[in-house]
Formats: sequence, structure tokens, C-alpha cells
Amino acid sequence: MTNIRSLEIVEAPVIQRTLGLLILVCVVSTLTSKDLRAREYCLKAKCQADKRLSSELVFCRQTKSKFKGVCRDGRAVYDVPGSQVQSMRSLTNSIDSDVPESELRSTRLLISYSDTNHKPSTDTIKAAGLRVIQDYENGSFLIVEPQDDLSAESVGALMADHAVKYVAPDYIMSVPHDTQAGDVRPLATASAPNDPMLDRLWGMQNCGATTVWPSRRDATKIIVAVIDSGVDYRHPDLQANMWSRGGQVGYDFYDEDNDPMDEQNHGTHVAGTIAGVGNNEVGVVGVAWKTQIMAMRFLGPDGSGATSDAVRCIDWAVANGAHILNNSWGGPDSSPELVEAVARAERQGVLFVAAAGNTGGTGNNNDQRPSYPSSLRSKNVIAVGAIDENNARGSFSHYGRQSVDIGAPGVQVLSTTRNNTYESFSGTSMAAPHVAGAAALVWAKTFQDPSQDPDQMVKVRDLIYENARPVPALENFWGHTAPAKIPGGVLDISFLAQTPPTDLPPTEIPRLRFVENRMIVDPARLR
Amino acid sequence: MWKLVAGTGLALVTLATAMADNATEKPDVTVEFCGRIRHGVMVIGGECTGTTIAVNRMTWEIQLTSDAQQKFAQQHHKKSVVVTGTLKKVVGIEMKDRWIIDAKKLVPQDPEKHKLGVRMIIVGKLQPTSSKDTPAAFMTIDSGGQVWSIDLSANPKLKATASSLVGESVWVMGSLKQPAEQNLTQEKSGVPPILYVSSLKKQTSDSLNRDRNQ
Repeated sequence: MTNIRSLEIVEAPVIQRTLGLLILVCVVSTLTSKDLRAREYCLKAKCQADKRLSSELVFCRQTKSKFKGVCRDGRAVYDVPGSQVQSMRSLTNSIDSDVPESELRSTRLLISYSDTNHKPSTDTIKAAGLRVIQDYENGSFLIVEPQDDLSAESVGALMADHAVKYVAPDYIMSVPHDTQAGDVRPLATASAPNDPMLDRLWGMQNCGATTVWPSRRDATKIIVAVIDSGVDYRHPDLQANMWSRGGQVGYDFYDEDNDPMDEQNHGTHVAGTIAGVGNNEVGVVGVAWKTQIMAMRFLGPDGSGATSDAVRCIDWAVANGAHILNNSWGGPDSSPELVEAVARAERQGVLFVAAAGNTGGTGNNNDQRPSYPSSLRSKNVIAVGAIDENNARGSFSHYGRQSVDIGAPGVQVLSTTRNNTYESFSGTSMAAPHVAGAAALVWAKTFQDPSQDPDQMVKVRDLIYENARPVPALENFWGHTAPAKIPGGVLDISFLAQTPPTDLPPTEIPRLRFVENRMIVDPARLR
Repeated sequence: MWKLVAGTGLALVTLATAMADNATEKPDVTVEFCGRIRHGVMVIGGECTGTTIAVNRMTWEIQLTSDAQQKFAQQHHKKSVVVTGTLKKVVGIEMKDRWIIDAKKLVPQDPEKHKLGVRMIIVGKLQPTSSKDTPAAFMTIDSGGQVWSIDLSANPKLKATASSLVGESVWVMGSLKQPAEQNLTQEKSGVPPILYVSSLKKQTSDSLNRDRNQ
């Protein structure tokens, strides 16, 4: 039967057959021409970045589209072939086909390479249709510009060169102009860690840490001493971040031995907020994903300890290289020994972050009834009050226009506790470690060779103060005396995501551009 | 006019009664604590008066009320002293319940006169214990919201007297001790120790005034 039909077609007049074919082609062409033509789409790439490509370029490659740059709001523009529209829609649902013509776009790319001896070859750059704007050796990356739109083939050519470590758009960064005091910025999903309790860590968003993480999350050279009840250094969310020297992770002045194991929970909780290991698929994450926690113990199981032992903790931590001391403890009495120990730390260039203190009910005005050590006026002391999720002062939090410097998250803060557990605590003790962790990131970002240095310490302190987010409702509570600069200011380190390291030499990079957040830049290579 | 006067008078009487009721709601607990004093104490969250006294796994804070007391506490740091005053409980933020003695008198310990330990006088309402597991000799006394477990086993007469005074305001005196079965964890959790009662009597307004004057 099949043979008969085939025969019939073959036997049809040639002219009739040709005409039919033409009509068919015309109809199909008319029906599909719109879909076959590439169209511009503006969208947020939903697909995962891979080890060597940013999500935007993974999208470009997967949809065989042409990458036409990234807008100021982070959305990327593509020419997507009609045949790939379905694939595009499966990768993202944030699609806008009305592409703004006049919007500023960055078409440049940053190509990171491993070291100066293994750079992407000229042939690779040529094959990818790129032009080198600058070889930024200090940061081990090339700034390049496509000669035409960047295609999937161009990306493929880059991937074929093993000297190419990572490629991403040169994102446009600018100071957010539409954020108001108290705004909480959305999580930077592209670089959100996989720690399962992340969504309960409201403080990380409030203090801007989640905004910073895409560009800066580690402070590996910074040592933060937790002067407290010790630290459960075996906690899976802390173990990898413990400072260690010859197997010693700190010192116990309560029991006078080398084992500062926490018997109370408080110090472990504080440590988790500073530097709970990030992206380890376990529990929580600290403000700094990776920094060195030095465990210092002088508070016993009942949460109390002697001033003399606190002084010895301060001196020990300073002598052993700590850059930042977190002090979530206090009392109404100071002593000359405590004053002098804090002053010694100041002279050495060590930052002293101190909880302002708690009193049930309505708190306490430290201007009238001081709480030490936070009320000490050494240059290195940052006195921290507590705020809640709504940017209101924690009702218990001590305050003082002259004696408290800044606010930070301190109500219902989830963090690590002993024996691989997690708990929510409230107190200025929880606020101080947000500042200490933030200071670690600021220090690491600002100085390529962080050291105990009074100038570095003052710079870090001032950056924290200058960038505090003013909250009008808190104006009467703190931040009125220099060096604190913002009345009612609360910790906000999101500025770290917007500024390049301050000690970089002048480059041709426009002021509002910065190194893409997922670039791996070896700080040791930065001058 | 007379209506206004009568109304005002009634309101004043009501207010006075309310105030009197409130006054009885305040804890009335007097302590004599003989133990080791520590001054310049630092605690988590700064929730401390800065001075503590401890004996037999019990650590309470002392609220010093004068410069002379401050000086005494500094001079006797880590030495055994006797502090007398009223006891209050403060709910902590990071610390658990805080027990604070508002110091009225501070003296060095005289071993011949003062035995290490805590002696208390509590004025409050006697209540039977609700727990079935608690021994029959146990009751509680509620003094303005401070609820203390009391042990009446020292004297059978005490128990009989106490049984007849359940629900009434009483005056009790005794020694406070951490029961042997109460472990350190419980102590840390803020569970108060037990008052081993040596004397108990019905509280009347006359006796109250007499006791206070004494």
C-alpha cells in the first residue's frame, strides 16, 4: 500500500509538486518567522553559576543566546533565539521582553586566572571575540570587552582554555538611592550559603552581611578573641574556624589550663555569630564565614568571673595576635587594671568590642550608671546596644547618648550552643558579636596585610561608625559622641559590597565598578 | 457638697486599701548570708551588681548601698563575711533568675558567732505543695510572688501548726540549704533551695510590727 502511494506522488506532475512545496514553505515560514527570529529579553538568570562561569554566562551558554550586558539592577540582557525560548523559560521566570534601550549596561567581562604565569592566551581572547581593556595583575584578572555581542561560542572558547579560572560580567555597582533607614535588603541568592538555618538569622540581613557575602565573606587572616565562658571548639559549625597554635585554641583563665572548653553556652553562642562556618550545609553561618576564633575563658558555669581573669584574657589574646576582642560581659565596677588592659590593647592596635549591658524592664542609661568595660572611653572600645528585627531597641538594652556607640541585632539571635546544638538568645551579648564579625570583614577587606596596628584599628572602627545606618527611632539612645558618627546608628556593612579595597592603586576601573562578587581574588596579590 | 466629700473619702479609702494590698504583695524576705564575698565580678551581658556572696553551691548578688559598703567589699574580696538585708529576685535577660540581697549590714565573719550558711525569715502565705511526690513535711510559702519550699520535718509540732495555718499569713525562720539530691544543673537553672524551718507562727499585724521593730 505504501509503495502505491509513493508511486502516486512520484507520478504527480512536476510543476504541481513544486508549487505545493513552495506554498508549504511559505505557510511554514509565515507561521514561524516570528519565533525563529532572535528577540531581546531582560532577565535575572536563575540557573546556578558553575565553578568557572557566573550564572549569566551559564545562561548564555545553555540557551545559545547572545549576552548583551548587565543593567544597573543586576538583570542581564540577551538575544535569545526563538528555538531557545522554551529553554529560557525553564531557566527563569523573571523575564521582561521590553528591554529599556537607554539603560546603562555593562558589557565588559572579568576573566580571572590562576597566576601570572598561566594567563588566558591571546588566541583564546581572539577566538572568543574579546578585546583586552586591562590586565589587572594585582588581582589576577583581565578586564575584557566583546567586540560584538558575546555568544555561547565565545563562552565555549573561554572555557576551553584551562588558564581561565572564572568569568563573570563586570557588574555595575552604585550606592543604593532608594533604601531608607530600617530597610532590610534582600538576600543575595547567587551567593547565599547553604547553611540550613540561614533564613532564621535575621541579624545577618539586618546588618548587611548577606549583601556583602557575594563579594566578601572570609577574613582568614583576622583573629577574633572571644573573651567569655570559653567556646565549644568541637562544634561542627565552629571547629574549622578555630584559631590554633600548636593545637591550642586559646586559654582558660577560669580553670588555669590550656582547655577553654565552654561549660556555659554563652561563649559558644557568641562565636557562632562571629564566625559560624559558612556554606558547610550545617546549622548557622556567622557574619564572617571564615575567620579565626580564639577561645578565651574566664566566666565559669554560672556565667560570672573575676575582673583580674578578664584582664589576663585581654593581655593573653593581644599577646597572641588577636586583632579584635569580643567582650559580651560586664559589670558596674571598673578597676584600674581593667582600664589599663584595655588601654594596652588600644596602644597595640586591637579593637575592643563590648556589649553595652542588659537590665530587665527598660534597660539602663550608661551615661548615668556606667557599665564596664563598654563605658570605658579608650579609642578602641565600641559599645554595642541591642536592636530587634524591627530596628527597635531591645527593651533590656543599655543605652547612652554619650556612652553607647552603635546598635546591632541582639533579640532572638540564633546561634551555636554546646554539644552540636543551636539556640536563640537575646541580649547585648548577641549584638556585640555581630559587630566583631563585621569588623573582621571590614578589616580583611580594607587591609591586605591586617596587623595589630593602631592606624588600621582606628580605620576599621571609623568605617563601622561612618557607615552605620541611621534609625530615627534610636536617635536618643546612642551614637552622639565622637568617634561614633551617627546618632541612632545601627551596624550596616553593606558598604563593603560597594567599595573596592581602599589601598588599591588607582586603575582605569570606573569608580562605581567593582570586581564581580564571585571573582576569586587572592588578597595577598593586592598591593 | 456632702456627696462630694463622701465620694472623695470613699475613693481615698479604696485607694488606701488597694495600696495596702499591693504592699502585702511585695516579698518580705530577710536574709543573713555568711559566705565568701567577691567584688569586681563580671558576668555575661553585664547582668550583675558586681558583688557576689557564695556558700554551699549557692551564689547570690549583693547590692551595695553605700560607699562604705563598697570599700568593705573591696577590702574583704574573697574573704568570709556576713551580709544582712532583704532579698529580691530579678528576672535576667541572659542570666537566669538573679537573687540579690539589698545589703543593710556587712561585717566580717566571726567564726565563733557566725556559721557559714544562709538564715532566712520569710513572711508569706502558707500553701500545701501540689506535687504528690513531695514529702508530707514539705509546704511552700509565697511571699509576694517568691515561692519557697519549706521543710517542716525538724519538729512534728511545726507540721501540725503549719497544717492548721494553710492559706494564712505566717512568719517562718530557718536555714536555707541546697538539698543533697538537687544537682548542680538544677542550681544553675534557678530552682531555689529549701528552707529548713526552725520556727513558725501565725502572722498578725501586731506581731508584724513587733518583728519589724525587733
